[in-house]
Amino acid sequence: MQIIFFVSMLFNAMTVVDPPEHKFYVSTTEIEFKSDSKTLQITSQLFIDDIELLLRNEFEDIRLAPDSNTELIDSLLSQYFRKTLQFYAHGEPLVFSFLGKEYKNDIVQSYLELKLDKIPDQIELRNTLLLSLFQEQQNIVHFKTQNKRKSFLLHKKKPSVLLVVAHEN
Amino acid sequence: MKNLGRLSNLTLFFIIISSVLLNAQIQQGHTNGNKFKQLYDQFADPNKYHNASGAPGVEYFQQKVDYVMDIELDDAESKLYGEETITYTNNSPDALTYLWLQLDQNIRKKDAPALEKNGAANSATLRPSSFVSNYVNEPFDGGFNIDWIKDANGSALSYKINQTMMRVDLPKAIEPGGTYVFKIKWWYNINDHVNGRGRSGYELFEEDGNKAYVIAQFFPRLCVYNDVEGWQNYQFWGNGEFALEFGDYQVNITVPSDHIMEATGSLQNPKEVLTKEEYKRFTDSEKSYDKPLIIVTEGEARAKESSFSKKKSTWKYYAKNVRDFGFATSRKFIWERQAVQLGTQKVMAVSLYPKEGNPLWEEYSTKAVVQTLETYSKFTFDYPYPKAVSVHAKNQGMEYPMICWNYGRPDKEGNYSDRTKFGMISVIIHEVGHNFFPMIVNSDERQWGWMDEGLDTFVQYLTEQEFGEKYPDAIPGFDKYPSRRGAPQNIVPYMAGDQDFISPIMSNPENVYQLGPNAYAKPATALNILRETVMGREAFDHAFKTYAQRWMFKHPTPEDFFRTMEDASAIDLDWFWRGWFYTTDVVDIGVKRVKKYYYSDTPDKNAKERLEAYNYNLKDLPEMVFKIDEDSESFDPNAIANNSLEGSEILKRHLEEEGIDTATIPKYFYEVEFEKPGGLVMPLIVEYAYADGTNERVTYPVQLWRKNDTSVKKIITSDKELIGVTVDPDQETADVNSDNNSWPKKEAPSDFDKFKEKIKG
Repeated sequence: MQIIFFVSMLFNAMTVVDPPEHKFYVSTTEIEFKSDSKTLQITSQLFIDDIELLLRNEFEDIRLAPDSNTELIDSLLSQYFRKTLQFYAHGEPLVFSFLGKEYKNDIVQSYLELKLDKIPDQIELRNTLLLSLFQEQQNIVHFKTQNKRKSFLLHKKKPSVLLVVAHEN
Repeated sequence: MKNLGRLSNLTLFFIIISSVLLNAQIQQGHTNGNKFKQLYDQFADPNKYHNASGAPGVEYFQQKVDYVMDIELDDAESKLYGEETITYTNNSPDALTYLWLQLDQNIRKKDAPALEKNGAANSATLRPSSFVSNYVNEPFDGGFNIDWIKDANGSALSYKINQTMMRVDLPKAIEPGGTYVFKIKWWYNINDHVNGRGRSGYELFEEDGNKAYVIAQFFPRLCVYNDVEGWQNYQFWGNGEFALEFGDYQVNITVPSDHIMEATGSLQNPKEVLTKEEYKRFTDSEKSYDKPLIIVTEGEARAKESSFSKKKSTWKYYAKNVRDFGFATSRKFIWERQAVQLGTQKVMAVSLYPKEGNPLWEEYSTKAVVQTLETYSKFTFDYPYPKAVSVHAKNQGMEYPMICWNYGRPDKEGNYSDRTKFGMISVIIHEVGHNFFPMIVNSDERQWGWMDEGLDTFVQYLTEQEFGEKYPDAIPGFDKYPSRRGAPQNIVPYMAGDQDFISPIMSNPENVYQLGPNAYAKPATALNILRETVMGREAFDHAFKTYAQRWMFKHPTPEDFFRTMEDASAIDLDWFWRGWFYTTDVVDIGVKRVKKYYYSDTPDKNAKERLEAYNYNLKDLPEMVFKIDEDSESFDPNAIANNSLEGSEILKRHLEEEGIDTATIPKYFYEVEFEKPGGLVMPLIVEYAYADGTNERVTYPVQLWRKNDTSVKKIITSDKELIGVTVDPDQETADVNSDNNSWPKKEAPSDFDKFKEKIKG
């Protein structure tokens, strides 16, 4: 059986009967800390089907494709990331800008840039991407700082992680 | 470098002395943990049934189960009724006192334990429709209702149902070689496979009130009895699919007379169930080799949507040597067939779809079926069945012998994205491809999902690529078909993920976290890497075909696959199976450092200290030269400006005495150290770049890692200056970390940098 891409009815189902092999619900967010420019470069990968399904809550006919309404989609994605990827330093929220997105096969890859005034020791990330849609959603975070890479798996029970920023000595 | 080897002997003595002295303390012992150790402790022992070559053994046996069934669909009430006569032939050496049957539909019973197999994840937010399905809806009243079970003489047999399994107790054991005939009458409520999900069921089209049925797992089916599991009666929990015996099927299916049907097997009475015009097109299509011939057009299917005939027709099918039976029926179906010649066999490639599938389905479905039959046959055996059918069902991707259900639906206006199109072509290739694995090479899906899904996804990748080559117009904007799975780089995010949520491929499908990457993508990628990088295409293709042909219409185990791949190629692969299939280790190989060096008559500080530490005086030792590394304080970059021998008079003299032309000695010596932080061993593929702009590609055998699993050094000698070393330059090993893949360290621009650059311009 092939993984199903066009999942329509599994939202929050508490009892799933005879589930045909459905796709695996996962997003990947790569965060790279650039000490020279004091920025976090954030690259997020979402399955187009998933995010499309979610955005259709607000815009019924929206279709994520290169020939589709770029301005509207960018603004919806930007809003959505603001709600679901939240960064804090010392308890204060940090603000990023949405640079844009690219379509890669069945994935939409978005680029966010977060400029830091000063470099905190640690940054808290709360990642709730697609958690409202899929109970099995897993959000992978790769954090890269000073050529060190750490990976985290976030999910409903553990949506937050502390990213320890390595300083140059 | 022959000459160099001889020179090195001069320093050997010194090295031996120092290592003996350093190892004076007593160390702990250990067992053999070498990654190249043979897999005797993991593999089942070879025996008379599955031999050590990976082929069926001399006493291999397999049961045969034949079915004669009368099935009737109640379209209005969505109920299915059946009466089946089962002929069981016991080819095993054991007398059987009971038979186990699978009641897969029972996973839909109101009180099925499968409903409670997962822990709850109570969401903070909820869609209104989910609220209804979670808290309001009555659970679906599914599952088999068994009316009776009787023997051939009509006497009732006793039976016991345990969830999805049913034991039929026999009045007298079936002796080896014996045959037993019995009958079952049953019915069940057909589920809506769109709302509530399922591999089988109906889709309701609310606009016209019609249903399209895709029906499978619809009758009590015999479990496999074999030498591996005894009875394979592991319950059906939803993820692990099926284990089934081969047999012959005669199935008569009664449906409303305006329905069009496809099923496993050859239609025996086309003249009775088709109109005159349909029958003519049906027979004409058997000669249509270049394109599909439409039996029922879209216009004809639309015209029937409002008629709802009260009359009934019985479609009669016969299928020889199949492991299961499925059918699809609706008055909404458009129907097309094309003939394909495979070896001596003519096969019909068939598509069946409601108008909602167009314009996508009329364009690509049959093309994908034909391509699948051709490519898979090339890599395995000529497709032995008379037909392969692709049926369009929303959300579905599910396979049965000769027939499968596939998704891929345009929107209401008939528009579709590339994603929908490629998703549809890929799922058709995948599901039609399942005819080979597991419908014919009949592995136990209940136990090992990867044996059919992984092998099928691998050949799916090969087929997709050939499809792209054959139909360049179908992939505008791409230079090759955009396969989701198969390419090594695509598996990296999964394999590099959190180890807490990754299982080895050798796991039961019920117990893995992400079945898609675990049972489909990773084994498919592993096989692709095995073919392209480890074994080479010729050796792999021969071994893979040997496996498929050995186990055609039989029940192979994982060991049969692993053993055959080695047996037919003379390539030891235990290290590969262990790493890729039995562990969750990853590939991470890099270049750690590159050191230039030359030889000198004078010891550097380090060598002097060591001589002193062991109380040696240079003049008491035989004549020797000393290696001066780039990081030694004595290293003089100009010392060998013109010739590598300039640093050593001793060497020059020695070579002269031996009559060796000093011009043949390479100018540069390098020690290149490779590191392997990853747990997997892999061949080491290196590209060396030289100052004159030339490159040299070297593949070191995987055995390089057998004595040191974490790092290994290679000596590179050249007349040209080495300026770059790249490990796995073509990204063919699924290396999860490319940061250490080049010397000098090269930061490839990230996607982020590239995107920023793009939007700046």
